[in-house]
Amino acid sequence: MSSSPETHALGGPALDRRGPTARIRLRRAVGRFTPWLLLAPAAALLVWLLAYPLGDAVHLSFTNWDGFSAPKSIGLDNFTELAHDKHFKEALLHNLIIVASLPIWIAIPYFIAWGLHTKVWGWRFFRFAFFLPAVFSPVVIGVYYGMVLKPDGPLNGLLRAIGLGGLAHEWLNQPGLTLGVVIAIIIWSTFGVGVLIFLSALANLDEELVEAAHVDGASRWQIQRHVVFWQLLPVIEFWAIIIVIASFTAFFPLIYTLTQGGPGFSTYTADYDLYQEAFAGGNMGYASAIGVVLLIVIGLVAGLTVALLRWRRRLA
Amino acid sequence: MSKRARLGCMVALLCGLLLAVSACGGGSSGGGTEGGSAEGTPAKPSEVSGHLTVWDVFYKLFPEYTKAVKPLDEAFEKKFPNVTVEHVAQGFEQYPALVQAAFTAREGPDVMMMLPSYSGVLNYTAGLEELNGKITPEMKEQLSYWYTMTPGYEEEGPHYGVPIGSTEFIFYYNKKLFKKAGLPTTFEPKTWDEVREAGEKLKAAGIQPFVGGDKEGYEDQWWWMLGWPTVNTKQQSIELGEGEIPFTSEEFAKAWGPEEMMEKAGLLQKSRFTTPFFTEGYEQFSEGKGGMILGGSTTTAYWGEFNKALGEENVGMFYSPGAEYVTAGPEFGWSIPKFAPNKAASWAYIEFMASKPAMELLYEKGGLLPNRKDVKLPADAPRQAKEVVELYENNETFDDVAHLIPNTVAAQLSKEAPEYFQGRISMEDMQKSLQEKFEKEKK
Amino acid sequence: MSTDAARLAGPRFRQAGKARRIGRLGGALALWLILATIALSTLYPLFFLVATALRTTQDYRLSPAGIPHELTLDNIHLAFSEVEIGKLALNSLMVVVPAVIIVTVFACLAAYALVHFRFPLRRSALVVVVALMALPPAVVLIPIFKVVLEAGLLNNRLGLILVYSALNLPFSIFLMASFMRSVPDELLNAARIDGAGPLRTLWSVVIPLVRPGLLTLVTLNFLFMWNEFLYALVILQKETNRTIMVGIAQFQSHWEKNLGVVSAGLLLSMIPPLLIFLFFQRDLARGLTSGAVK
Repeated sequence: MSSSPETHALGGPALDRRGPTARIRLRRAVGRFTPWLLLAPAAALLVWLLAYPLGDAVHLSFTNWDGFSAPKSIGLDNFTELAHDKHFKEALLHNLIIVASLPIWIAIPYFIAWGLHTKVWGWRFFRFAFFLPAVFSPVVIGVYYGMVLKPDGPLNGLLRAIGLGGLAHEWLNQPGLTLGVVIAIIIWSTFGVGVLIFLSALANLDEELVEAAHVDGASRWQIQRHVVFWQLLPVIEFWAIIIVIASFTAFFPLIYTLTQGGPGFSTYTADYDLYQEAFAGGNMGYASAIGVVLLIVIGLVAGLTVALLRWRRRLA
Repeated sequence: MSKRARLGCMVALLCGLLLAVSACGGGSSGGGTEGGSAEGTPAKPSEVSGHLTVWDVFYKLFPEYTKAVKPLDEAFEKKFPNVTVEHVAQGFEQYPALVQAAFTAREGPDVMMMLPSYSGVLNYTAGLEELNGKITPEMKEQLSYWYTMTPGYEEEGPHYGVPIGSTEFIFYYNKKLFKKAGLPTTFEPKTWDEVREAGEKLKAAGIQPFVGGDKEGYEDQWWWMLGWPTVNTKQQSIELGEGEIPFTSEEFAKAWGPEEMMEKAGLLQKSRFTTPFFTEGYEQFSEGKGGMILGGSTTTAYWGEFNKALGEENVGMFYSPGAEYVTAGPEFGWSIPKFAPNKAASWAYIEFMASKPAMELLYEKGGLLPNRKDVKLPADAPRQAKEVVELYENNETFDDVAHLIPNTVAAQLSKEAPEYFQGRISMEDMQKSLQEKFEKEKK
Repeated sequence: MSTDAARLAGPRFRQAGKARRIGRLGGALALWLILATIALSTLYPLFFLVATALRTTQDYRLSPAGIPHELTLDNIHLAFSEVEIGKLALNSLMVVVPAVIIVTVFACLAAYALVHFRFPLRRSALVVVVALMALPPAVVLIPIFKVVLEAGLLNNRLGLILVYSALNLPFSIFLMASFMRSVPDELLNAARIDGAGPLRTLWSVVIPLVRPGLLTLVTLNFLFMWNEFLYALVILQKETNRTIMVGIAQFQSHWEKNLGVVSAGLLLSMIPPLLIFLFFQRDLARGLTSGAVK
């Protein structure tokens, strides 16, 4: 937006007096700079409030800083300490478990979209209902599931009522289980977006190809695997990128409101650990080091995802 | 340097002398005041003006205390007509983050509520104003618990806050249910075994012996800190906080004895690990669902509410049997951040809140027990209030051990203890991991 | 379960034996039941909040999950009078609306440049944008706080507006770029030949074509910013400009015992995002896909 006055001014009537050649030259010059001018406002904001702070976080990670006095440079101390910090390692492991669950994040909306695509009775309504959790704030979800998942809460009540009492659990108080519950809740709150995406993609599907495959005697499963899947691949990639992001950014608020990292440290994630170190412990430097390690992990995961998608594409 | 030190000594001596003189007038009994730790003079209303922002975590959190806030602020504004007060309620959970952010920003409120010792004020000494120059000798003499606002836990030394209120943790029992189980209605156990036996009798009578809630892990922490003075000394609690006694020591482990005993005897609720204390846990006691509960000793937590629900005559209290000293401390302290622009007004506010009329009002409206020698409870105060005051007056008191360790270590303790009591980690695991955390924090 | 659903749901060409048709009917019924169950799980929270907000605490305690018997409007009243949910919502709107506008405009300009212009470092710029997307907000909380502080924008709505804009820009650019790829270059060339400048082309050719995408972006950004908590907490510390999620997190601990009031507050806090969602629902469906397909 801020670039518009410049562009207009340069092409404005004041310049007409210089004659056609000058004007054309100027236009060309402006043309060359147009993309930069268009990028400028976003770039300025990103550099000022994201890239520079990111660099600062890296800088702080080599310091000891309590937030009061000036940061003291301490070299790699924070990182060597991190290597021995068992809670941090546990937290990072949880991040990786979350990442490992991504195929489920893809599969569930994919198959539900298939279900809706048959235009079952009330599919529009389902589409609306499935998206609803994406509107709920983490505070709402935290309070709600805190109530539903109580040992004597509605979920266990339901399980017992339908004779599945054996499946009743202390959902939020079982170290091995609670992280899974948190992941399930996040999937629950995002799958509707995926359904929406896949559903519209299916609507644009090339039906002729499908018909042709059918005429060739392909089974439904074969069609699904060899025709439909490949057609949807770009959409799946798009969704994959979105959920890789979500796997690193969407958990903090829910953990903050629902489990506070518990029971014990079993639902600590690296960014929750970072927050605790920085704001409960006042160890800003150490917290920044956690952030840097987390960034490296994210870089690796993102790189791996991209590589995987490229590889798949080449296979296609 | 040495010249300056000598000068300091001289000033200190002079002040000490002055203090001694003023103390004589009051006929005090308040121990050797040698250092010049209180040298302020009362604020004059005509000289103070401006706008004050006060950050408060109890405001709107504890219903009883909340009732006292407005009257207190109004009384202050009446006395200091040129000052206006903006009393901001901050979330309990978010407070550490906010305080940290304010100090980093060097921008924030004029007066901050601080919890005692390392649960609050002592973590932020780098950002808080040292108040010794402002504290008047009279205030110093009248208030108790100065050591919770002072590094090293001495009555003398730099004070970073002014302690307000008097509280700690204590056991409550339901006399009606005790009677039903054939137990005496005045229960004064001399050993933990007696507590256990009472619990077993309750259990035999079909009554849940202990109720509560440990979802947040607070309850375990309270058991630990009430167990501590029955096996360790006050000095040892300081040594734990300073690292001279490690968390891997016998001293630390022993303090868990009482809770282990009750757990082993099956007197604690199985569901407590999924029950939050502050919402559901203690309400069970109000509803008469349990014989005993561990809770805070003032009305902000809970006898005020227990009395209302069960009747004053049915709520009994006892302290850790065989304790060497009684844990007690202020509800909170008022502090001034260094960045506060109008420290005269900040101090006028704090001075007023620590005064006799304010503390009387605080009890009358909010039920907080006073920590001022010249404020006595009214004759019609509930029996429980008098009992608590007596307990704290007639015994040697000291801050509880959980306040003496770094707050992050205490936070970790309340995360690990429930895991220990659910048999997921061993005592050694917990000790080792706490020691690691402690060493990291002390670096 | 999902595999079955998928098979059943496959393209519909079939000739039928009777048994097969019955089997298919049974399958469709099973599918419908599965979908209905999932829908129940996503609708129930709304019912729960409404029910809890409209009943007394005693009634709630009798059957927390069930149908309310004792109805009351007290909770809603308290949410307005004691929690001042109206004021909190207004505070939030004063941050979220400008931030959504800024982020949308900036993202449109940037995506337009990245998709429809050729210039050096274009691909690197795209990679940087994607990389910044996965940045967990907690990682840069401290340094961003420092920047806001040094700019003198602490406790200033503008500070939070700019921070929200920056945090959501990478994703917005990415999404906008995906949408804009579906606009054929020939159209732009035609506009240029007609003598339209780059901004004019963007405004009158590109934007109308990516309208659903644009509204999707507005919706998603609104949802994110409205629900954000951490940055709002540390940047706006004063009670006078506190946002709704911070206010709710705080009164949640104050009113914990009174779940009715908490629910009333939560319910009221959901109204603006729900309205936005309902309003743009159709565009959302179209918008998300037009971005994904290309």
